[in-house]
Amino acid sequence: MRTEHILVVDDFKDNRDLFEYFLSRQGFRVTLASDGQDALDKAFELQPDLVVMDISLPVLSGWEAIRRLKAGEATKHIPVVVLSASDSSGTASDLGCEGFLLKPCLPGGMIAEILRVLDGRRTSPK
Amino acid sequence: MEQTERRTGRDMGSKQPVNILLVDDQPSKLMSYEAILAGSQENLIKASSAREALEYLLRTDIAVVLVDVCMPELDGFELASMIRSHPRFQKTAIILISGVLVEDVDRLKGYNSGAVDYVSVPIVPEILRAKVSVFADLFRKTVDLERLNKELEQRVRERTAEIEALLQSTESARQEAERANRLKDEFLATVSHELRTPLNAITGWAAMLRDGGLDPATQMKAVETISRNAMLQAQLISDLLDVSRIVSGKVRLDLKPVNLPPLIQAAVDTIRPAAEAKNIKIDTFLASGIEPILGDPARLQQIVWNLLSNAIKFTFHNGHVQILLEKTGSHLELTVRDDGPGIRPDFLPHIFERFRQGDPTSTRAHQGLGLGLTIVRHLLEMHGGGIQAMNREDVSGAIFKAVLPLPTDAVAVEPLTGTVEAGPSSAGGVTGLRSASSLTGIRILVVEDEADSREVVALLLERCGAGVMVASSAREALSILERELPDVLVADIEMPEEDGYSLIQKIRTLPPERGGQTPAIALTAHVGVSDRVKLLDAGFQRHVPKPVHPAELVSIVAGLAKLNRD
Repeated sequence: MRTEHILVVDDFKDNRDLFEYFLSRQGFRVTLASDGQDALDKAFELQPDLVVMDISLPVLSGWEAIRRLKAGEATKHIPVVVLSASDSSGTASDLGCEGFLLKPCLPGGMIAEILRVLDGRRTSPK
Repeated sequence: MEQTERRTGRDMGSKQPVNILLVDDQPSKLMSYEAILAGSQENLIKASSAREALEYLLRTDIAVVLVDVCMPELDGFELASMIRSHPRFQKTAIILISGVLVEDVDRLKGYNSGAVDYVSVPIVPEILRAKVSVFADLFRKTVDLERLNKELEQRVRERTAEIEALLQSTESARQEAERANRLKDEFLATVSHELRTPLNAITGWAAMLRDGGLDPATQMKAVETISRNAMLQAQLISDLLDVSRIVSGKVRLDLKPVNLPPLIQAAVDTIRPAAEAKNIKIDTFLASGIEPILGDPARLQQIVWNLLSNAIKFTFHNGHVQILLEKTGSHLELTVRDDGPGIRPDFLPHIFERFRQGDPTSTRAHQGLGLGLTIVRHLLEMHGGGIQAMNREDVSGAIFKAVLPLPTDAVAVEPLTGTVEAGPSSAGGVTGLRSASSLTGIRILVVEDEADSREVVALLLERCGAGVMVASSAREALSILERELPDVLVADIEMPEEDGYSLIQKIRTLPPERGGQTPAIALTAHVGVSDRVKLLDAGFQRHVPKPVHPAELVSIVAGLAKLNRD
């Protein structure tokens, strides 16, 4: 069982519900956000252990939210896993994201990517 | 070039009179200069002092100053020096009248290149006349030259501007192409996102179900989510296919008389659950006594549904959506109003374009492919109507105003049989017709100036069994109408000499037995709403966009012909 705190950002409610369900079942503490600004606010305030960020978001796009997260003193240490509908893993790593998932992603795939990033960080802190 | 030469030639020929300033303190001498120069046709101005002469010089253009050297106060030399030293009087020639030495005159010439000459006393009239005439002509030529020079400069400026404009339009064409390309990329990204997002919910929950261990309530939620998202995807896919079929002209209209009010009511009822989910109230105002129109009921319902669903999508919780149907002149007007955020002004002109959405892809607040309004526009145009979008002025919100043509008195709507269907896209557009005999016995007059188009349309109609007469101009069409009585007229709008508007207006003044009420179809390239109204007002019953889609044309011709015969 894991106990880390994951912030999941997606504007599509059915996906938020799904992610919340299976990540909670895994033991993670889950917080949800539905747009880029909401995500930034919650990341700053709640200091999650990892952010799963959808890209196509209202108010503030996922890319812009990531740029600000990675530029903020209080948030730049939080690892980000990008969740995108197109293969934009290049952009993701350029922006300093630690993980990438292509939609649609299965629960097992998302959990594996989250664990890879979390454990990779624990063993080799940068 | 040509024009200037002609104008210059005329000016030179007519010898525009110039001003000759005569300066002398003695009135008798002034009168004698005047007498000598009287026959020269120039304007003679007299000044009795150098000071007065300067006033004239400042006020008007003087070609020649004729000045007496001996004058009190300011003498002729001094006046000449002042004139010569001023750049403004560069073109003005000076003739000094004196008995003095030639060297003194030469001294003056040093000032600049302006002409200075002298006439000695006693004056020989022929010499004075000759000198004045030479300087007057010189002045005229200098003025002409200056004007030509200015015109040339102006022309160079204009050409430069033209070239710059051309460069700019090339640049904007390039930008337009790039923009179209970018739109396509954005659209693909949107499609990908819109298809993958529900897919994520579907595959995710499916995997959870397969792995087991869900409680019954979660199982139910999983199944519901899967089925809802599968439906959402099905809708997206059918929109995609629909728009591609509609835009490429492969959609068939099954034309029937349609009563719009119940159809609109049915669409409102279908969409009500979606509206209630956001607590949005739909107000319906349908005018009574609306006549049936000729249309495809399923497609008309799709139009109404798409407009309503667009309005609900953009209306805030607890908002209002209004739908109005009224008759205005020769057409019906269907208005859908919402109190959402309205449409960004820079997006308004593009709102009916394919692949366009008000939001850029990465921060989109609303889901969907942005195809609904494109579908609406195309379906309305296939019905001979059109649509406009605008923002509300009273509150925030958008207004969509669709127009549909009403049948005219000459062509009342009755049930139609034998609609025609297009086969798989036929390149020439002529071979794909399944029902080749649907126009049997119908006589059609085709008016089109362009030979190839005329040929294609005639061939298409003949293949369907029609008797076709062709005319290559409005005049030829009118002369055919003097001896023939076709069942249907098909006329191009853009024709040289006399266009389709003029033709139909002339035909509508003819008595019925001479073809004055022959139902008419206008062929034109893409037109806006106002053009459609103009077409209907001019006397056309229907409009078929170019390039002509065979099934659409045949179906409309068949409909109009049948009604005309019954």
